[in-house]
Amino acid sequence: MGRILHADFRLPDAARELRSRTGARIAVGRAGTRPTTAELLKMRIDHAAACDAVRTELSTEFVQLCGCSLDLSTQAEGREGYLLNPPLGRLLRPEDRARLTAAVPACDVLVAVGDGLSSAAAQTQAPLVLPVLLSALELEGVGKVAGPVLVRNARVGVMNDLGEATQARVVVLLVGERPGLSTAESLSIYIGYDPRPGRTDAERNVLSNIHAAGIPPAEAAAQAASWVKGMLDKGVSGVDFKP
Amino acid sequence: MLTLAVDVGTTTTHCVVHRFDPGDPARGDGRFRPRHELLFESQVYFTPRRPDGELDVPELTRLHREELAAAGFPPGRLGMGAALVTGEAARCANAHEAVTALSGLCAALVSALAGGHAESRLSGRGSGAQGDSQERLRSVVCLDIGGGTANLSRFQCGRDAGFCNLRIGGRMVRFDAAGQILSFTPVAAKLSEAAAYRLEVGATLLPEAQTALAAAAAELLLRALQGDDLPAWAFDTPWDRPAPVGLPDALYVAGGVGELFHHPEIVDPQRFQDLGADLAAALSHRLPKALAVPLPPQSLRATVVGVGEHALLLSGTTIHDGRKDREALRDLAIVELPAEGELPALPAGAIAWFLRPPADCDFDLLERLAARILAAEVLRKSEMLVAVLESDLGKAFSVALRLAAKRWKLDSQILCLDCLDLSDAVLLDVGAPLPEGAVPVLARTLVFPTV
Repeated sequence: MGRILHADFRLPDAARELRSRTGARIAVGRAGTRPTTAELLKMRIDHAAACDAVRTELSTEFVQLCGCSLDLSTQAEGREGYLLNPPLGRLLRPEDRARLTAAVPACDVLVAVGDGLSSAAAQTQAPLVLPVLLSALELEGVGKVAGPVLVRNARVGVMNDLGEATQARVVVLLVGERPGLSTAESLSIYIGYDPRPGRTDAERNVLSNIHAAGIPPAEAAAQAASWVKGMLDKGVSGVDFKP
Repeated sequence: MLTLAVDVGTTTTHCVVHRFDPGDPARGDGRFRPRHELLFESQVYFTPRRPDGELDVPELTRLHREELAAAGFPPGRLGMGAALVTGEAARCANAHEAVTALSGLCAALVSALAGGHAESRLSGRGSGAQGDSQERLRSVVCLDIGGGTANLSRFQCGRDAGFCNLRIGGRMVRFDAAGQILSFTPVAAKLSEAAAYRLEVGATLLPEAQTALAAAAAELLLRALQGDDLPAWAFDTPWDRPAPVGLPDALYVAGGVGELFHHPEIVDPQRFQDLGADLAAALSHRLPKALAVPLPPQSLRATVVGVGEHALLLSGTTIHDGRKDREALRDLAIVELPAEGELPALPAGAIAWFLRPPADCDFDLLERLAARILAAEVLRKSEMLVAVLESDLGKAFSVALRLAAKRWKLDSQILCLDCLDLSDAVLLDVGAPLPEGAVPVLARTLVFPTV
């Protein structure tokens, strides 16, 4: 007997239309009262991809691919330590902080890449975002741009440390989002003006959902650059920043 | 912002005013889902004609100007607008002149639309058929029957599934109070042949001939709405999709004849002195019982409401607007950039490039596309470079364009919009940006029929 590779054709138009509008698992059929084997396997594959995205370390090839000048770490000890003690993901290791200060003299904009909760997101999207972001920042004329630098086991709050270490006026952090079952490769770009210890989420802006089915990476990069320009011009970011 | 839409039809003319509220960009994709609130519906007037059959432009403009002024909408209050010349009226030699004259009714930007599938698309939206199809995920056909033409639009789960225009309308045959035939169209002649009657100007139209003629026209409409093959003479513009597709789940009947279809009690045989009421009745008798025929929110005004609500589009928010004075741009000829191969011949005036890069498009491809545009623009030495993308890549493409422009040392102003589908449009007008960042545009299909 032949094998059906895609059961979509059996659906009525209306169900197919609804499916096409969302990544959620709707109208997936059933076997008796249970999910079909194919759907169950698909869900387990997606779940495994999400777990891998959280636990995998960023590769050294990735550091080169992105042209990162520095490979830094936060105070969290490895992925396990990062997951068990999240606040440490906001603080750079003292020795890495010193390296950063020494390597990056005063700049207007610092670009950084962090793994966050999905190294898969950083590995997939950052190479697509960075070249456009750097070109666009140059076109916008935002002054001296430093980076990109890599931060392992990073949370968004590490921007404050990055800002203080480099005296950058604006920090742009590409960071992997918590993976879900629809995608494990979604990236966010956080941008903050004058990030210093004590700054909160309310003082940053974010472009989120950058992935294959979300905002195109190149579009997000170009948008991020014009926000950076706007923040430098207005001297503000977060809820007070009106793009 | 207040927007104006004017419909100049074969038989009647009227206008509407909407309040245009862009709303807030959606959290997911950053796109606007603008709302249009109908504020004003004008009276319906007979389209003023000169004795030679052409449009009486000064009278037409006066009617609308006075109607709008009386309702409290002087030109200064109306931000943007569109005038639509539909059906047989679009065949008048001075249709274009009429649109230009109507421009004076609106302050900033008035645009013309006419003809064929664009008309069907708009009435399908204005009548509520498209919304029904989208909401209930079913196939819906809108049949908008005016004086000169019947515009059909088909929607499947809210998506466009085909358009056509038939030369069938209420005024196929006109007669006077005594029943003497004043005029008839070639299609009416063909239909009467089939019914074994001969139409002749000056002859009396017998009631049974009138009924038979209306029945033949209704049959034709029924076949068209199932997508069946029709004789070429019946079409103004044939279906743009393969036929036949069978009956839809629901049918919306709109237009002037639609009004008579839904409200047979208002029929006054002496008012129009044409075939409209008979056509509405014949259609009503012949529709299959199984077919749902909802009362449309708009029937007579379907097209003009469609213009008011759907001709004015909003770009995405992540775009690049490098216009120095943010001044409105008018009459840009739309040139679609082919994925590869030779560029099409470029018109002499201002142009807007339209691109449809694939969904998984990377920046390398955007740079290659930008290089092709720049190669052409450098020769044109244009001061304003306008590009419109179908997908949400406007800002990214503007970076590619600006990099290329720098390389070619071309310092034109760059305007790069996205999230707009211009595939059927010929001309583009671009308004000043809204405070929220999106830019309103009018995409026009200025296809005045030549026959």
